[in-house]
Formats: sequence, structure tokens, C-alpha cells
Amino acid sequence: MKIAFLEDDLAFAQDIVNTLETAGHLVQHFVSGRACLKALASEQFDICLFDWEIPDMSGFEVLSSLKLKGSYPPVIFLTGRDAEEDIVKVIESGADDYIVKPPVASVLVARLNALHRRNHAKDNKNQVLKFGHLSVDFGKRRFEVNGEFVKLTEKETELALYFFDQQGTLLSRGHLTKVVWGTTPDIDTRTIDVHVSHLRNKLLLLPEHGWRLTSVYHQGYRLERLS
Amino acid sequence: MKRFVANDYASTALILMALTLITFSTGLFSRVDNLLFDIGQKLHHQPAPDDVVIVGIDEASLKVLGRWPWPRETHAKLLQRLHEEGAAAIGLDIIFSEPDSTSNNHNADAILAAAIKQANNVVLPVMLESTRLNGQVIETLPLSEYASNAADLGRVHAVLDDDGIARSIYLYEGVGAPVWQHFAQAILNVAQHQPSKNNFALSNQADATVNVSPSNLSLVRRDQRRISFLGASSHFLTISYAQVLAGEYTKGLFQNKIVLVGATASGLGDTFSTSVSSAQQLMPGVEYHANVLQSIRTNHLIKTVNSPITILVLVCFALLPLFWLPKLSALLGLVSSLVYFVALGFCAALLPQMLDIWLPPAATLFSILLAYPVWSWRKLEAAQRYLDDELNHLKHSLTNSPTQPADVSYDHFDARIAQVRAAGEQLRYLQDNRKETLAFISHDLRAPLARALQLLEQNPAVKQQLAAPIGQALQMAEDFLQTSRAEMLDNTSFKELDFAGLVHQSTDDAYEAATQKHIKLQRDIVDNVWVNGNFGLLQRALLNLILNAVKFSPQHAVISIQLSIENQQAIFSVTDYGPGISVEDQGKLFKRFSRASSSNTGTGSAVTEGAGLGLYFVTIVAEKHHGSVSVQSEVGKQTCFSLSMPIVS
Repeated sequence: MKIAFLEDDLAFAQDIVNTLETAGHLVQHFVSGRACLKALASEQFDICLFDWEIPDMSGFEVLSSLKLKGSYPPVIFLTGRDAEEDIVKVIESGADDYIVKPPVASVLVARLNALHRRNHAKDNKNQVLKFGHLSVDFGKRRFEVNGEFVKLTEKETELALYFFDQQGTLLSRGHLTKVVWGTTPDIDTRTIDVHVSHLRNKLLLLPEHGWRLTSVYHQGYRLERLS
Repeated sequence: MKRFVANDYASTALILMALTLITFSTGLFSRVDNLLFDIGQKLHHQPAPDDVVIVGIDEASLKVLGRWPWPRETHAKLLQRLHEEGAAAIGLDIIFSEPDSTSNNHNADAILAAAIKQANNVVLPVMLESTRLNGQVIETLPLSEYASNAADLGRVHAVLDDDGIARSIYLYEGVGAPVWQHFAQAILNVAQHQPSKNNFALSNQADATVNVSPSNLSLVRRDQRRISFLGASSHFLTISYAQVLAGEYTKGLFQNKIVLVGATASGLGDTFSTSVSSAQQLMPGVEYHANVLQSIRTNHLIKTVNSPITILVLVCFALLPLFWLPKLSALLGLVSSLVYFVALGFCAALLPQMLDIWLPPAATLFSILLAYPVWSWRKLEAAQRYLDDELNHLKHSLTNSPTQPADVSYDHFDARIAQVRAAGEQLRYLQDNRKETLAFISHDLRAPLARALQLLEQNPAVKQQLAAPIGQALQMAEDFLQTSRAEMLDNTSFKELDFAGLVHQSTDDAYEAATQKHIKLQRDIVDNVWVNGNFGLLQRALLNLILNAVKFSPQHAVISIQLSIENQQAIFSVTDYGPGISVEDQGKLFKRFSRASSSNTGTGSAVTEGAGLGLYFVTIVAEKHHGSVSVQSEVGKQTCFSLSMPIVS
């Protein structure tokens, strides 16, 4: 895929470019926000990887400008800041995900892939996916653990299917609410947590079984398949 | 702060002391003193002695015997009668300064003189009067033929205070020299067969040394004493003069008794107000003397404490509230001051009865009343001064600008508020600065370290040597950053969190480290535990505790991770079956920059050492969440770290 990469630290940027190219991606590196924005206006990119602090135009400002223009590729922020308020700021800005610097190469590639997959989603509708002990039948909306049927409620099923469909990506609370509880927007904040907790217990989404279900600073959830 | 308190004490004490001294020396509240003395006298009621009888020249006697003055034969008859009845001493409180003028009998004076001589126990009064024109004091003695036959002479008087109430006498008085004893003393001398206490030697001496000078002719008094009154008027056994003459009394009434004869009829003018008698019921002079007599006899004359000692005692009592006022709340301070005021007044009133001394307390009472407001005022001033100083100090240390004057006095309330606001803004500015510094450490210090570690991965040749120190440096930077964040945490950023989810997630995060040592993480986590808190810091705290257990556990061990609810508290605990921690080491665990002792790292784990902030960080996070951390350990067996914090129902 084609990646727009905005980063002013040249040595660091070279590392990233190497990593991504090794993984088979096409990377266009920008040191200036304006140049990046200009390129995004004329060319087609699959994904944006932005640094937070750029002298002429911060990653946030570039993202704001993109939003004004309408459609734009998914954006991942690379940030040296990992304080809770910084992460919250990134998510609230409308970015799709974030990675704390310096990224572990495998994580970076996995995140990019997950996001790319989401935007170019194949139709999972009638698939049956197998993950070790767990099998997910998208068509029949059924889950089996170690070959045994697991009974889930309507909303749990909805949430679980969405998690498996969007594996590896950061799903904000607002987004989850909209997708799963769309008809009842004023749900209690605890509701999502309770449902996630049920899924963890019923589907055994634990590292022991190759899964990691994380709350991202209480802002959203991410379901990851461990390698 | 100590300095201000000391100053407070000093200034309050000085003010109270000055108040006491001024009030005492000006006698501003002498009325209050007298009032208290009178209350004490009224409260103190004693039976009249049964060996003192008053023969009263009352209205009934005037009716029977005619208008005053009576012929002197009448008095002679009375004396004869009393003598026959065996009176021990007779005090005749009637002035016989001039020859008889009312009797038809020219021998009247001689008859009375003979009766006085015959009785041989009659005491006659001496008067000291100032003349109407120039205030010259003159002694008025009884006629010489009486005086020479009298058993003793004494000065009759009562001291009227400013308020016109009689409370005291002088033991000795005289013109030029304190020669004359009191009348009551004279009667007592005769009754007890004691020599007279009149001291004529003094008078002679005075005459000899100094010739006629004005001071020689002025009234000289000595030994003022207050009287301990036995009761109000008519408290002593009193019998009418006419009745005695008529023989209307029980036999033996006067046998060995001290008899005082004097006017009790109010029309004769010898009555006055005393401590114990109200204006409606004045006390006759003769009864006053009976009270004096009893006071002398029982040694209950009340001595007024001399000025230096009085002042000392008054000041001490006035300063006493300073011992408890600073320790009490405002309301208790007020109440205690009032209680102390009443109690002290009461004690002062009872003092004459108990110790036969009188100490005028009004000056101290006044100070005590003012002690509370004065103290409060000083405290307020001190607080204000302190705040001003602190504000100045704060402003100084915040701005660091040399152009600021060293002292700024805050004359106006508004100026103070403005200063506080400025200081607040400064603090916020500093807070922001600190955040920026932390961001710097976060971004600019950690990133290169982390990158160095990454680069090492690609170069196995130097990895062996460099991985450990760089990893350690990174961990230190990380710990430092997290601890600073925890220390700055305030609960405005708190959100309602799924604590069970946090525990699961932290356990998930520790999974990789545990797996490397083939350690099994056993979960025993109840659902639906909600807490208010900061997600990132709480999660890291839980992770720290779990990683700690992983670090100290041997290979293939089991670590038990539990979450339960007890008494509205979420209890998270991690139990490992590692080497354990000795009791003395347990105390040091949660302190800043402490590291577990080397005996605990004997498992040969490859986990890098941090800055020794791991458990300190957990403690801070727990405290910020109104919770606590504790450890229970048995050396060689197991260690259990627990974090508890309040849940949201």
C-alpha cells in the first residue's frame, strides 16, 4: 500500500521508511506539513502516518485541513507523548489510531495492515473464521469455543462480530456505541465495559489463548490476535 | 509560624497585663469589687454567738422612757442591773462628752460615774470628729469622771466606703498618732481580762518629736480590716433597754455575757448600710460593733492583701486564659472565658470566708472579659501578617525579580486578593512548566534511549554489553516520568472505570514476561467492580505489582491474581511463592528510591533494575485514589501485595 509519512526527524524517519519498505509498502516521506497536504490533495494514498510535532504544521493541523476537504485516507499518529491526555487528544482529533515512539516494527506493520484491511474490507458476512480454540461464524452469528456453542446476547453478538471484523484497530467508545447500540444512543457508560467483560469471559479472549482485548485509556477498545 | 505564635502570646499578655494594672490602680471597677465582697458576705451566714447580748435603745424604750437624751440616773440604773446580773463586760455605746443637762438631779453625773466604777467592767466610747468649719479633727473623750472609772476606752467608728456602705474598721486611730483601739476591742479586753491596747506612748512620742504642726493634728489610722459579718440586722440577741430596766427578761440572761448597750432606734441616727444589710434594713452601730467584736474574737477579721502581692496575683490570673485559649476552638474559647470569669468571681467572693483575706478581683475580671477579644484580635493580626509574609515570599520566589520591593504591605483587601490571584497564576504557570519538562523527558530523553535499544537488536555483537545499561536508563526515565505524573494527579481527571477490566488488562500485559519464565498467572477476578480513577496510572500500578511478583518468582511458579470486594473496597492482590521479604525490608519497600535487598534478586532474573520507584509509584497512585497498599510476606514461602481502594456502587 501507499503510505504518506510525515516526520521531521530524518534519522528516525529513515528507520521507519526502511521498516515499511521491507514490509513491501510504498512510502512517501515528508518533512513539511504543507508539502504533505499538497501531495495528499493531488495523489491517492492508502494510509497516513503523521508525527505530532512538525515545525511548520503539526500533524493535528494537517488532519484538520484534510477533514475540511472531505474524504481522506485513515490516519495513524506517531507520538512521543504517551500521557493519558495526549492519547485522548489524538483520539478525539479523529485519528484512527496512534503508536507511541519509537514503534516496535512488528506492531507498526500490524497496525497499518489492520487499518488498511478495515478500509478495504472484504465481505466477511458468510465466512466462518477459525482462531485456535475459537470459531466465529459470521453468517449464522454463532461462536464456538473448543467446539462448544457459546450463548451470547444479541448485543454481545453484535459487539463480538464487530470486534472480530475490525481486529487490531482501535475502536473508540463513540464508534462502538454508534455501531452496536445505534438505536439507543444514551446508554450508560458502564454498558460497553460490561459487554466487553462478558466477551472476555465467555470467549476466553486472553493471552493464554492468543487474544488480547484492551481498553485504550478508557477511550476505546482494541482486540488483537497475538502472534 | 512559630515566631508569630510567640509574638501573639507576648503582645496579648502585655495588653492584658496593662489592662489589669490600669484598672487596678485607677480603681475603675471598685464598685464591682465591693459588690463581690458583699455577695460573699451574704452567702456566708453564721449563727450569732450566745454570749453576746445587745441592749437596744429602741423605739419602744423611747416610748416608755421619753425623749432622748435620757437622764443619766437611768443609765446608772441599767448598769447596776447588768452588774447585778453578772455581765462579763459592758460596752456602753453612748457619748458622755458633756455634763448632764437633762436630769433634775445635779448629782446625776456622779451617780452614773459611781455605777461605772461599781460595775468595774464598763467600756466607754471615744469619738474622733472633724469640726464643721476647717476639718480639724478633735478627740472627744467621755467626761473625765466617767473615763477614769471606765474599765477601758475605745474608739467607735465604722469606715464608710465610696458607696456609703460600711465594711471595715481601723484597728487603731488617733489624732497625730494611732493611739486608740477600737471600741469592740476594748470590750473584748475587759471580758477576757486583758490589758488595754490603747497606746498612749505613741502619742507622747509624737508630741515630743514634732511640735504643733498641721500633720500632728490630722487623723492617723492604722490596720484597716474588713469585718466578717455573721448575718443581717437583728441577727444578735437583742433586748429592749426598757425591758431590762423593767426586769422583763429571763433570769441569768446576762450572766457572764458581753453586753453592748446602744441605739437601735432608727430615729437616733446611729444606723448605716453594711455588706449584709439592704437600704431598707440598716444595721445599728451597736450591732456593727458586735460583729466587729466577734470577728476579732474568732480571728476572722479580713485583711486586704497588700498591693504588690495583689497586683502579682491579679496579673497571674489575668494571664491564665492564655494557656488554654490557643488550644481551643473559637466557640469553646468564648465559653471557657465566660466560665472562668464566673468561677473566678465566685472564688474571690468566697475568699474572705475561707482565708480571711480580701483580694479585689475586678481588674482581673475585666481583663478576662477582654482576654478573648484581645486574643482573637492578635490571632487575626498574626494570621494576616503571616499571609502577607507568605504572599510576599511566594511572590518573590515565583517572580524572582530583583526590582520588587522586599516588603509590600497590603493595606487594602482588594490588593491582597489581587496578590493571591497573581500568585495563583504564577503557580499555574509553573505547573505548566513542569508539564513541559515532563513532556521533554518523555519525548526527548526516552525516545533516543529506546531507539538505541532497537538498534542494538540489529547488532548482536555489542548487544550483550549495552542492552542492560541502556535498558536500565530507559526504565529509570520511565519510572521517573510515571511517578511525577502520579504525584501531580488530581481527581478532576477521574473517570468511572471497570476495575475488573483493568486487572484483566494488566494481567494480559504481564503475560509475556511471565511466559518467559514459564510462570502461570492464575486469575480469580470478580466482575462488576467500578472505581473512580485515572486509567493509565491505575493500570500501570497494577502492572507494577504483577511484574514485581513475576520478577521475584522462580521459574515455573504460579502467581495468583485476585480481585474481590470487601466493605465497599475493591481489594486487588498479587501473591507469589518466591523468596519472601523480611519484616525489616517490608518497611522500606514503599519509600522513594528504595530497592529490594539483594537477597531477593537471587532468582537470577534478567529484568532490569529501575530507579527504585516502582512500589513508591504504586503507593502514590493508591493514595491519590483514596486507597492504600500493603504487603504480607513470609520469608521462604510467599509474598502478597494488596491494593485497596473505594468502589463506586
